[in-house]
Amino acid sequence: MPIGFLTMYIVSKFTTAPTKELQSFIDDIRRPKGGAVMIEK
Amino acid sequence: MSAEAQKGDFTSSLGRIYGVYTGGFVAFVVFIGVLERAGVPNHILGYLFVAFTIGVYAAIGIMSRTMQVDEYYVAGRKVPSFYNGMATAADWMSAASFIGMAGTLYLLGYDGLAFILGWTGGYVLVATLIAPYLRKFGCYTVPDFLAFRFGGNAARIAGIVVLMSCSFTYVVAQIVGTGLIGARLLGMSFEVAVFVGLVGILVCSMLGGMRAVTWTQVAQYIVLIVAYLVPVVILSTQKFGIPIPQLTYGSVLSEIQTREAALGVSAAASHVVPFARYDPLNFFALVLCLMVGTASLPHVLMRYFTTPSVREARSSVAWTLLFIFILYFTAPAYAAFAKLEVFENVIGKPLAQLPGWVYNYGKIGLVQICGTNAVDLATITAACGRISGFTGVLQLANFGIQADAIVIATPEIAGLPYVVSGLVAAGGLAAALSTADGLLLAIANALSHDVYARMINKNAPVARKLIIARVLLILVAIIAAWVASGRPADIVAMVAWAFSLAAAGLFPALVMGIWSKKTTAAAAVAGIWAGFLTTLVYLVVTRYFPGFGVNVLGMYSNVHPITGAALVDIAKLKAEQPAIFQQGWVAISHPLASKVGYFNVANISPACSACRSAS
Repeated sequence: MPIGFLTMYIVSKFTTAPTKELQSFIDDIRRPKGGAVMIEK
Repeated sequence: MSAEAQKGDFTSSLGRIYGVYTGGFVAFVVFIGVLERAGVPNHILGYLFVAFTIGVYAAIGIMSRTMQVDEYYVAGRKVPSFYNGMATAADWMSAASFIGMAGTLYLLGYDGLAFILGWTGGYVLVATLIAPYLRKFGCYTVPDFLAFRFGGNAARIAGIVVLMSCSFTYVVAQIVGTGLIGARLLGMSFEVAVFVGLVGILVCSMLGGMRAVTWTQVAQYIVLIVAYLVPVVILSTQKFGIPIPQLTYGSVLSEIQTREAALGVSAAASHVVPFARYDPLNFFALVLCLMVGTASLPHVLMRYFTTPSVREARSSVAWTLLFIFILYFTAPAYAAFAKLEVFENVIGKPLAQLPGWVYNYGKIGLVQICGTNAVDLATITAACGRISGFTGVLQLANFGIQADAIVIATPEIAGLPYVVSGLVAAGGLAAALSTADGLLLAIANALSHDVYARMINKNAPVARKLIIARVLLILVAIIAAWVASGRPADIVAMVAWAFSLAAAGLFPALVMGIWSKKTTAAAAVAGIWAGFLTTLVYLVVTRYFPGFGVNVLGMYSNVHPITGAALVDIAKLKAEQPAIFQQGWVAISHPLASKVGYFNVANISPACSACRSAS
């Protein structure tokens, strides 16, 4: 598990960060209120 | 009445429905007791227990059939938190929890509490770090979340590989557990019991998917918790007059400590001495591994996709914790009462005065005396007579009991009628079937939703998706039952690996995916594979290729938790038996198997040979 966390941390430093839109989406997931963000068809 | 209104009526009537169900189950148990008094043979009563309970689960499964995708995959997201908690508790508590947990505590004593701490503590991690956020996301499966969060199919495929690795061995072990319960408690042949288990699993899940599995699991939880509590509550009442074994077993531990001193039991074999079998590093590493692994298991996490809201997902975890706690808090009591029974009425007794339960469970291989199965007095007398210095009184070193016997034997130890043993069998079966259903659904849904619907044919009609899901469910179940029918001992041991693989492969990706918005897709994929493969290599090499581990990877001996001495003298073995280090695949009895590694991190499994020692 520490290897997994360490790998993800290091590789994230050297790869392009997610778009602002996706980052905002991730922030929204952590807000407890509101409906599901992805609706399955 | 519209379909929506009918659904509303159903969920608002759940209390009444399951109240009637519970009352009916209790009435059935009383009826079986009446039949026993009337002289109906025990094996008939056992079959009636199995037929009735599986029949009820099948009826629930058939009534819950559906052709709607959201009902099939996530039960329409209409499962109230209280019932989802109950279903998740049943989904989680397998035959290992029901039958194996008390036995593990019997054999490991204090150090067995690592399993309880880990397996319950994991739900705290689920509640705080993962479940509510996955629910907010609104996906059907864990690989689905990974794919959307990290973009594309690379993360999805990695998630599917980890899911399959964790879940397949786990489901095989549950079907093996079903076979053993049927064989040991009901007198069926192992293969017939496996087939009965397979049928039981499929009728609960095939027609209704998650919807059917959910309501069946609620019913199974009620059966398993009643079955688990009744024998030990009666035992506590018999001994102390108090029907709360969780409170009275403290007195039992004091008596055990006194008896251990009188019998000269060493600290390393004591029931109450901490860190006698695992040193603090391995004890807390085990707790952490089980906690994190529990929080990452896909078949557990997907249960929280079924609640109506994020708030209910979080409260559902709290209910799960409570329902699991009831059983896990009772397991130490089971172990303590059984150990005291052995110390009071078995050890130190002449062979001719041993209680009858010793022979009943000796006949099915769960009790050994003087190195042989305790099938009858003549057999053990002959075996003990061959031991030099044997005085006719059974000593601690000459008595062995397998972990599975503890829960199974408790009704007989307490002098209860067969109906209680049948109840325990029904509870064990409920535990195994409920977990097997959840695991099979996780596997089949990953293959049908993630592989077929998301990667192969994105425009597949709903009906085809559901047909493929059901076909895959049947196929995976048949393959798992076929593997289980071969009684693969090592696969049962590999269940413990599922926690390590899930912890290393999925936990970092889930947590970083939710809590670190700057974690990239490449990082997630690299992290999943790095954690998963490192752990897999460590587990496989230390268990099956320890010679390779020592020669090539520089592994060294683990140390004894109390003395600190190396478990294996590597230098001496290399000098005296160099061939040991040249072998490829080794058996669990190999002198190096699971005894080498790095930094004394042990390859611990509940089924390890060291755990099957004499009490």
